[in-house]
Amino acid sequence: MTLVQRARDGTDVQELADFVVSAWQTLETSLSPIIGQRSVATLYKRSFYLASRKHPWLMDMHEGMQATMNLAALKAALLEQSSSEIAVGAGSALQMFYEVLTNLIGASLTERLSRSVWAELLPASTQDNPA
Amino acid sequence: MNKTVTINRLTTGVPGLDDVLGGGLPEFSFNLIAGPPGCGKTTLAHQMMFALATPQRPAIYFTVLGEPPLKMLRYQQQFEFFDDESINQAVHFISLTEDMMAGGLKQVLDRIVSEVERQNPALVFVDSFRSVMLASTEGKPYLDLQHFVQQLGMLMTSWQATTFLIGEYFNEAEANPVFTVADGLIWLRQSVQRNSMVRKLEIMKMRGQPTLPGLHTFRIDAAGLRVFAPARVSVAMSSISASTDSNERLRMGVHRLDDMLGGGLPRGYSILVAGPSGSGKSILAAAFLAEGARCGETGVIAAFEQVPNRSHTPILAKLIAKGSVGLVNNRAPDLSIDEIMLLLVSEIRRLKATRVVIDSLSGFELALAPTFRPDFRENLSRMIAALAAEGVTVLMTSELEDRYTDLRFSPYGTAFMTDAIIVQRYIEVDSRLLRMMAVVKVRGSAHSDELRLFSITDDGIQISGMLTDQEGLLGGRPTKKGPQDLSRLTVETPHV
Repeated sequence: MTLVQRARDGTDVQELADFVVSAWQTLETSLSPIIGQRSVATLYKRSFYLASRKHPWLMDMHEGMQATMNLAALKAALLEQSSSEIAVGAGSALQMFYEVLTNLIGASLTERLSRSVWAELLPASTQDNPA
Repeated sequence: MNKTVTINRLTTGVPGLDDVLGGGLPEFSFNLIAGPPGCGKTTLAHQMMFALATPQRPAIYFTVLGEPPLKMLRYQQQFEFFDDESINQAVHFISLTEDMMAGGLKQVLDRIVSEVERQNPALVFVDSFRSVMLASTEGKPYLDLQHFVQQLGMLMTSWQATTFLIGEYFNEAEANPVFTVADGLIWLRQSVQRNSMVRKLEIMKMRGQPTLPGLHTFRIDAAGLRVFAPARVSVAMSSISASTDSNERLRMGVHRLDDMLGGGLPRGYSILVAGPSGSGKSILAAAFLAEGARCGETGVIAAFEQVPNRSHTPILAKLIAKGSVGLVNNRAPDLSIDEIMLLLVSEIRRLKATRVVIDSLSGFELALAPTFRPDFRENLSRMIAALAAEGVTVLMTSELEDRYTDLRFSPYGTAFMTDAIIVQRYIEVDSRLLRMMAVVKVRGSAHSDELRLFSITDDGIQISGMLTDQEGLLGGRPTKKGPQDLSRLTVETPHV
């Protein structure tokens, strides 16, 4: 189920924020051993940079050079937003991560390395036909 | 009962590499793949990994500060051998960057140990080793590195993992602890001369293996690396004697030429057809192949001489179209003799060919990368021997500059390498340019010593008689001898 669907179904802010943070944790767990923690952190920053163009409240997530994802800061920022804003904004950052990774290593490998996250988060059409 | 250990040899999946390695890669060996940036080390490692790894015998590819893994995955998947289905199944990538940054070599080694113990891989790759070395030189130089390498080598062999360290910038002249510990050293190089670059591979060390010494050219294309192992002459030497002992003679496809050769060309011989441009060498070569086809034999032609599509005589074009003659017509830049040899041999084996034509040696030399040209003669000699080992009869053409002051058969000193020689010349007679042909040599056989005129018609080469009334034919400007000389004098001085 996508984040937007979850928000529509009435999932509250806390639950949505936990879900988003857990999705990023899963990504870090599956990708860090392969491409390194720093690479994952850099892709994370890049995704928030791209998503913040439409959702300026995500701006803080990509500032500064970090060796790891700052998920505590993300969660704090998410808890200040409404469910729908979390769904659209945080969903957009995850979508950007998927697209950047796909652009770098191809859809097939992206899905193979982090299938569980995308299966839950992205609409099927995105996975079939990535940007 | 034989109590010695039998070392299992792994098939690397890199065409030609197993031959160069002396029969494959020894299992549980500890190997180093070294060479300058861009020479194909990572590609070679990936190609072997995807060929060898299975879910039951998985591979771990450790990346240490070298090429960022994201980039490596991005670029390596351009090769056909890259199989993303096997990732996280048969092939596991593990980044050690953080370990290196946090705890140096000790932490890297600890992490490798824990991953190897956890996943029990059959194959382990550590890329790039240069970064490991650089890290070791910051504090306590070699001591740490030597310790690291020895530990790693011991661990991997004990854990029964075939291991590869991939490294850059190794100075081969410098004593390096890695060299001592390694069972195998695979060195990749790039030789640049003028505008051409040729990739070469050398097995500097491979314990317990009869490797093929020297530099072996390789090419990287969409399928990955292809090593051009030199054709092994000794393997099939028996076939030469088998073929030559039979005393069978091959027909050349040109009327009267077989008589001139003493009854045809002995099977398994190599023959050089030397002559100036346009004298009919390629036509003779085509006739040789056509005669083979007529007798139910197949042939292969390596054509370097002419422009494709309008190159061949109609007869040859038909034979190629019909599949009776295989065409090796590689126009790739930077060719090596070994690459051509490999193409020829595979075509010979595919068609079970018995007749081979190389048209011409001059074009062949021009097609080679400049780096191979100084050794052309040596390499050609090796090629002729290897072709003979295949049991085929070889006809080579050679451009001959028409110099009338000396009688040469080829510009390469190749004449002595071949078993038989036919020479073609132009001569001037009565203000006409005529062609003449002679058999100069047929090893171990009587042959004609006649200088015969020949012409080229729509039906090919027509050999006619000798110019018995002329002398000095090889000088190109013969003169009539005997009474005719007097008659010429008579014509010039009518009043006498």
